[in-house]
Amino acid sequence: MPKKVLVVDDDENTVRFLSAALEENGYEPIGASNGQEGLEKVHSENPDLVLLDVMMPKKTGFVLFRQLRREEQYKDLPVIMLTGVAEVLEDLDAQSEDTHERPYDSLREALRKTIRKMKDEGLIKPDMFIDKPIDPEVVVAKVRDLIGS
Amino acid sequence: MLKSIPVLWKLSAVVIVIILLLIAALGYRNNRTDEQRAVSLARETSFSCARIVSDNIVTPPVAHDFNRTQDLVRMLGGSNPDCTNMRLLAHTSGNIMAEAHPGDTASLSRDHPLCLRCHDSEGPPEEPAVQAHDEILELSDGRRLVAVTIPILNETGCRDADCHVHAGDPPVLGFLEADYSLDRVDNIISSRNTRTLIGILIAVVLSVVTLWFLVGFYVKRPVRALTTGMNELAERKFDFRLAEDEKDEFGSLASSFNDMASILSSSLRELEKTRDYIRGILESSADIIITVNSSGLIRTFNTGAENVLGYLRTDVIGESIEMLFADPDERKVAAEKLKYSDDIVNYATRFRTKEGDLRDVLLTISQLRNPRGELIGTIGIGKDMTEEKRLQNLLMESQRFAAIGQVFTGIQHSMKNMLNACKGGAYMVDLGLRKENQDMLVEGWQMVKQGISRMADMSKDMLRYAKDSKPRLVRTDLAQMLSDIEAVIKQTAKDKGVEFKLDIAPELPTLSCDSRMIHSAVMDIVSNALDACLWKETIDHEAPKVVVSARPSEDGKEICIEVTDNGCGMTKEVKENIFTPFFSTKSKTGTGLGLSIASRMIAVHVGKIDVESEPNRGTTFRILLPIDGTGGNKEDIDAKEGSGS
Repeated sequence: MPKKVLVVDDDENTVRFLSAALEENGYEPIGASNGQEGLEKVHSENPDLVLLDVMMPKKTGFVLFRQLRREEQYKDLPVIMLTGVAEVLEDLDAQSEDTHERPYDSLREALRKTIRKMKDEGLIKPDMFIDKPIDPEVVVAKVRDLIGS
Repeated sequence: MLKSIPVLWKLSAVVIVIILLLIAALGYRNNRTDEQRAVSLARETSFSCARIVSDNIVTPPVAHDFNRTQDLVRMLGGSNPDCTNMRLLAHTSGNIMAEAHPGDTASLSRDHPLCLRCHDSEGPPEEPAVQAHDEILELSDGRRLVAVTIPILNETGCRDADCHVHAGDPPVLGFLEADYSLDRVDNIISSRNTRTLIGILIAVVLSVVTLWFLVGFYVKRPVRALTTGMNELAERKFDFRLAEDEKDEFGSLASSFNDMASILSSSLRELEKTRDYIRGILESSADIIITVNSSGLIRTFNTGAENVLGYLRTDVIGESIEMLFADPDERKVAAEKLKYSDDIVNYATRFRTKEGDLRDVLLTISQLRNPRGELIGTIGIGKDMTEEKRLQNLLMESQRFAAIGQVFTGIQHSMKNMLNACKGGAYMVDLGLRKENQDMLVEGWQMVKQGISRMADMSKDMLRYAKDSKPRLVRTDLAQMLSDIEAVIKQTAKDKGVEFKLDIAPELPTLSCDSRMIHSAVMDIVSNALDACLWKETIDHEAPKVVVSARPSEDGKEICIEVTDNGCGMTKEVKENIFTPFFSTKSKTGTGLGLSIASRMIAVHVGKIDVESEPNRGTTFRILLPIDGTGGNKEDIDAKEGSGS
């Protein structure tokens, strides 16, 4: 029984080539084109791992991620974010109250702050991120690391 | 000379004179009274004696008895110690009938002073000398006496006497002449005069002493205090106050003096405060403040000027102001300008410091006039702008770097997604080739091509943005243009499940614009609106919808195009940045330049674009375009074109 990997990205190209790469390596890929669909697919397909884009319509990857972590059943479901750490941090910052200072100028400071915060919450580990442009082989290697083949 | 005599002496002199006059008048009056009393006593006594004599002459036993008459006279004269002599004289013969103090017993001649009292030397008086007579005689030894002469009349008793001696004439039988010494009175007067003199002396001494004491205590002391006070004031000791113990005029004078001193002191303090304040402003100002007299020589040079220019005021006061200017001609230019105006504001010039460095100075020069309005020089207030200029340059430079950095970040962000398509496509191509899977190869190749074409789009957009394109104004049917956009977009919208609606006011005037630019701008905004609908997170019962409307503005000078969607809306922060290049929230599809280019295109038409938005409610973009194409600011466009080329 091949392990199920859910690919959530509104860019259909990304879904396509990641699916092809996963399939090639013996996984069963499932595609979803936005956060809302992604959440539904998690519930219906019960995947072993989720590849999650962040900037998506309907529900951003970040919102979906938090939602999953709040559900007991998916609290330990492996998730790989298809974005740079910087983007996620920016997104986190945008949602925090401290928005008056743009992270462009104080990105480093914001990074430090947010990473500490994330560590405190035990939410995010830095090796969860794979930035675009995505190398499908790197993704597959990471997936194998996390859930085996 | 009188003026140099102290007041006290003058007062004393007056008092002395008054006392002298008073006592002298009193003494004189008393002396006169005593003298008169003595004379009248002498006369009364003489009358009594004459009466006694005349009565006794005709009355026995004295009558006709010469010896007895002699005794009577002697008795009358001798009984009065003041009486120096008493004589009874027969009238016609001048014989001395009787005498109190025997002496000259001969008869008196006609020219005897006694006779001459009534008679002149020629003969008998016209009227019978029947009046008593008295006078004060002064003897050769200085003594005085009252001589009284009383006629003894041929009265009825004589005429009727038995002897008939004096029947008929003469009416006057003889005289009783008595001399009374005034020695006693004179002694009294003399001793009184002595007493008076002593009294005067004592009075004078007492008065003068009292006067000196009173004046000294009540006048001289306060006057001296007042003088001291005046001197203190003159020496600027304004805290000096006089004691106000007295209740008299000097007391009120002291009180007035104190009032005056405190008014003077407070006005002076006020004056000093104002002076210090103004001096403080001048001195503590970090700006350069220099005053120059009408010949162009430096008069004052504040600390700010010293600090900025390195000169000490002692170096420059009295020197020509031109020495401070890096280019002395600039001073001449300023002076020339001042001929036509009272001030020159913010004259940007350069000063040379003592060390020879140049300083950028923003100078405001004003004419200085005295209260009569006459020109007395100029005051220059200069701000050292050297540091500001340097900082400004630094800031501009850092802003330029920041802007470049932002652009790089934006480009990198957009390129990431395009490269993602290429990289993913290449993987698929490799996989297709390896597995000889034609479909996968084609699909991969499509992805690569998509990525390439989006990079080409971005390259074009960047060029469009960078190029300050000149609008080619033509009369454009805006309604037609919007319908064309509808035709292009409607199917895409439908595919995405968004309703698209066009709402054009009837008889919309034609618009003078570059139709290619406006088309692309509206297209960008509409595409944005469609994406916003897709990005709406919470699904409610409202169908996603984009409405494009066009109508003339109220004054008919502009056309207003509105693009309204009920999509995801924007936060305040996003709204503030939407026209910034490469600020994109759609990281995978957009180039990050669409709205920046749109706003630029509208700007070159002298139009306006603004946006209202609420997160999760929707957004309205409002474009205002002048109907005549320029908004009456053709020059602005020309200027832009000029600078852009």
